Amino acid sequence: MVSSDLAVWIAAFYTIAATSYAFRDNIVFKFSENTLIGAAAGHLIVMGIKNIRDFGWSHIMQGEIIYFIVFILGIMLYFRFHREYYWLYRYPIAFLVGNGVGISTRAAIHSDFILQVDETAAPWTAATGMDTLDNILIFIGCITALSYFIFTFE
Amino acid sequence: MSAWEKLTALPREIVLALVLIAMIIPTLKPLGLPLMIGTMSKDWYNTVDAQPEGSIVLFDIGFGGGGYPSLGPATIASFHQFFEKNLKLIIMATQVEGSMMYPLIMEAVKPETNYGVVYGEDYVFIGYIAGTQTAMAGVLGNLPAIVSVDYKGTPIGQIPLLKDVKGADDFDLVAYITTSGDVSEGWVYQAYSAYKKDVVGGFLSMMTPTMKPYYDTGQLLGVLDGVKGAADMEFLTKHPGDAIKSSDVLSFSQTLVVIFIIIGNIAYFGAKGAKREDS
Repeated sequence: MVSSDLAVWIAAFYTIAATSYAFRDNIVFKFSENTLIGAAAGHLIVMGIKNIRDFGWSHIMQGEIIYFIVFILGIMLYFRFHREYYWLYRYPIAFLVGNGVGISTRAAIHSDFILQVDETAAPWTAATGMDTLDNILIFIGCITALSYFIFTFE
Repeated sequence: MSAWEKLTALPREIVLALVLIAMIIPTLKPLGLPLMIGTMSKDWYNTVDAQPEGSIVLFDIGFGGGGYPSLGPATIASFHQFFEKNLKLIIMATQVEGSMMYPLIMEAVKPETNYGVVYGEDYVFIGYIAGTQTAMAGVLGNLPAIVSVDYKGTPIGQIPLLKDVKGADDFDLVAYITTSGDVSEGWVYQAYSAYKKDVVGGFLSMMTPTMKPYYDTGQLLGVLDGVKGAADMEFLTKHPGDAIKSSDVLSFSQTLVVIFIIIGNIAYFGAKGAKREDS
């Protein structure tokens, strides 16, 4: 059945236009690319403003004046474009990097290291033959990959 | 140039055209190829199924328009299961385009019409929150400190579902479907490692090898693996949709790709052998 929904036809056109790059660069692909960039940029701006309103300004309106610090840090990011005071942007960047690293590292050690070592060091024998084979392959893969990265020198 | 060499130098336009044909045929005339339900999808389904009625699920729509064809059907099927099980759903987006996917998903699920649920009481959308892992840590750590209004701008104090939700302790299950590696690992770090919450994750098939170790170690209780996982979910929830239709296309075109790989290898070694004979 042929769809009467215009959105389906627009989606189909852009899908074919974007996929046409697989053959070679062409004007239809460029059109779809530019439309996507324009729409995505527009959406990002709207969502950026909405985020400032919903997660920053609304708190200030409720009397949580500590959120002024967030706004000050946000404005400081734009000093990147000022010739004399450009160094000020480093403070919010340092805050963002420190915060991000701290938040992800606290759990990564447990998830990516301790539990993975524990699983790899598990007994080879399992409930089924295929699981046993899996365990052996994982062990061999782990040892060979580690050996490659530790003992390979340029 | 020998026949073998000609075969190895097949123009990519021909290969792509054949793949395109292999995609069009099952689209126009579905073949009904058999669907083997994967263990990882079954685990997702069983984990959600085991949640008692009224449990609160935190769900992250971590994809945009580009990921919708692969992950949209999985999200729709998952939402059917959540609402059928009478679970309470707090939906958020860690990807900026996620907020655009929310109405598309809800339009397909039609929770009010199909399940008689009420926005604000049974489910709520708190919108896109920037910062990825920082946002996750914030929502799980102290939700009211981060979110003051829902996506529609209603203060959370006026939303019954959010009144008593303070953070991780109030969530019974964390579920996410995403195209982003940072998001998929982020929920494991922030929800499982930091708070020992039950976590299920859905992502693109190409991300599965990276995420599988988290499933093997029990950090992810269930996984929806791209379109295949979505088709499994549609089958398990008895809500057939786009993924089951797509799985025919996927099986047919991928079989062709495997055939090309075999032909390519035979041609490569054939050409090598022919050269050796010539010399």
